[in-house]
Amino acid sequence: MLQVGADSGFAVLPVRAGATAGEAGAGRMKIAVCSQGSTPGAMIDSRFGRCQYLLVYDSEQKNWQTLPAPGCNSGGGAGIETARFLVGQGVQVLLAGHVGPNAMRVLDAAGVQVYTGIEGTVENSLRLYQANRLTRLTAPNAAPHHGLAARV
Amino acid sequence: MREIVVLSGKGGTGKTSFSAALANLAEGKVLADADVDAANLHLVLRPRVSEAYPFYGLPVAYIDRDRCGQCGQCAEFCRFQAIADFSVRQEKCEGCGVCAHICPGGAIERRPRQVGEVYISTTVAGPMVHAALVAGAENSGKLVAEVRRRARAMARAENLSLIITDGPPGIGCPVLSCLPDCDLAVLVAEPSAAGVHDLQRLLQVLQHFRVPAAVVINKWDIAVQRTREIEQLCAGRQVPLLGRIPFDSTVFRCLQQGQCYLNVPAAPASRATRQVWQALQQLL
Amino acid sequence: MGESLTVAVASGKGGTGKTSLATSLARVASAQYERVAYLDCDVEEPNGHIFLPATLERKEIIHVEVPEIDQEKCDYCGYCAQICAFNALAILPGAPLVFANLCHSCAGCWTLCPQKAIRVGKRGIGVVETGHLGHMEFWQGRLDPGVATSPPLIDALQKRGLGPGINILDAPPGTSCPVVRTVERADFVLLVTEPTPFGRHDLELAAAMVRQMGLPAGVVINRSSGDDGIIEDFCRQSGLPLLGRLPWERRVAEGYAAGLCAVEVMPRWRPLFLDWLQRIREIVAGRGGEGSAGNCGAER
Repeated sequence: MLQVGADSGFAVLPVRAGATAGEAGAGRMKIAVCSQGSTPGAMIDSRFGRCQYLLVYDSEQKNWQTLPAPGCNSGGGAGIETARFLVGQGVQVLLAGHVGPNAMRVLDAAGVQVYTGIEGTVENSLRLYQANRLTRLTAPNAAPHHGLAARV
Repeated sequence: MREIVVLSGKGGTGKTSFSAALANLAEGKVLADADVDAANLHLVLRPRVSEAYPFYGLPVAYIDRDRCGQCGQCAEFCRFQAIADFSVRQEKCEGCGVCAHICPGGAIERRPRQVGEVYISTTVAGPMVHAALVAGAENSGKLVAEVRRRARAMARAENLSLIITDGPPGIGCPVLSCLPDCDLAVLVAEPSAAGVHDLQRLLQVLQHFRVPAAVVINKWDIAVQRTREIEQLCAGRQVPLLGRIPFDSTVFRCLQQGQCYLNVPAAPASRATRQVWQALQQLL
Repeated sequence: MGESLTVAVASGKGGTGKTSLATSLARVASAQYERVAYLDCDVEEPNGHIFLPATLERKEIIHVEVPEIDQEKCDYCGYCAQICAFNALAILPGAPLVFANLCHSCAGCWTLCPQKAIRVGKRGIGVVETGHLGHMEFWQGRLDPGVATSPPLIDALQKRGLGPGINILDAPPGTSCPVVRTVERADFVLLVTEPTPFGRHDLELAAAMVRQMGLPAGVVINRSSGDDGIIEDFCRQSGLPLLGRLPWERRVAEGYAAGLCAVEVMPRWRPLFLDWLQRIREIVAGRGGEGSAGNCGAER
């Protein structure tokens, strides 16, 4: 499925209050990190749509929740599927390596803030975020299909 | 670990013969045949298959005869004419699942369909990963990804630092599946009107995905003017030219015997290919 | 209704000279028959126009159906996204998103939406173009870059281009879904191969495909070097008639590079093509109903 250029421009869509609940510093936050393993000590997964696990940190309870990511075996549209799942989990911040255009459109419409530049373990990536050392991503930084064959 | 993917905008440019030659020249590498729709590398490298794994495509519909009330709604709603006589013609089913949602008796479910196999093999030139796909099957992009994944796992396990992948022709989904994390795409170009046109399209795609590319012109002396055109095209896009391989009947003769043309070291094509390999190593 | 014969020219592998042969066949046929149409069904890489430089007269954009969500009616229940097997929909509160690129036009969402909030919209996937070269009809489809599925465009092309007389379908290479769609409407499949292990291996795949589809087929060996045993053996074993061969000629390869099809370089090959066409007509006619099992016209 070649998607060069087509449809990669973002539609500006109305986002209702509630969808953008997690502005920085607004109390309880759920922060998701793309991971290769099921524990916070695992290495990050640089892919988003086809990452193995999503580890979600709850800033209030200060604990981690492990979610198997739904898109890793999907036939197509993995990024959309994973993004939809994440939004459904009430996540406000995503820490990722590469995010493609379709996933970005969903995350954007749902008001999820995306940060890139994660490295090492999941825990380490959360520390980088908390220390303001990650970069806010407002446009996709991967092509469609990236996760299908990328090294993790 | 480095991965070279050999590509060609159009079929029949000599991509697989060239890949087999690289396989013979390089040391300490894993070979991967990612041209899963028409895998040919095994015809030259004659692998001994040591492991085989099933490959499943998208789930397709399956009708449980015992629960089917023969109302015919599934066939009526199917956009792909995949249901006839209350059974599914698997090769037509796109796996949308509309029939399963429509069926009042809950008699339809979707099950994965095996559409191919992945093989791990040994050859005289090193370990090899390849695959076969049934005719008319979809989703070869996913199978390409699977071949590459296994090739990487093999390279890690055997501590080999290079992967040489024979890629699919064209610019479709299977080609895109070869691009993420590929270190260098080597394009085997043919000097013809169609060849130049298809090379141009492939270079555009590679540039879009920021994959470094280098070009080899095969049978360059068949059409000297077209060869110049390709060279100018490469210069204009700052794509390095690895070299030119002349038309050489040795290649065809060896191919007929299922042999690599490098077995005739003095053949013009063999000399040129060794030079291309020298140039290629500089880029890695 | 006039007599009609549709021949698909296919090859399991790219680069066997399929397009050069298909366009040669169309040229030779059009000198002999009243209506001849050439249809380039390789819509991802249409190359036939290089060898048949027809003047294009008409162009039509081909559409497929995709969902369009009526925000007045949508209550954002998300059911459509849940049932879409291709992840072409994402329903967020206040923001229903459609990813038309991923849509297979299965009609699930607009058939099953509980609110009837989804209209049938359309999306262009490419064009069908037509024109003439002499009195030969030329047809081609061109798929837009970025479109995943070519079969709807191939269908549209064939619906418009197929007619009475001789139709030559230039199939895409390989044995994947678009090839199956192309040859489906043919009366006969002409398989072009070359006398190498690659050629034989890919011919085996293509032969398996046509056998599975129950279509009569025959083989032509291109770039024959005199020793074609590898293909002859296969034809004997599989019962596929070997219609003929074209010898390897450097001039033909050079002509190809310059955009000339085989018979333009080698006019003396014209009778060969006419002969194949005649054999094909006999095979198709002899097939008339009582299942001659695709073995008819067996080699010598």
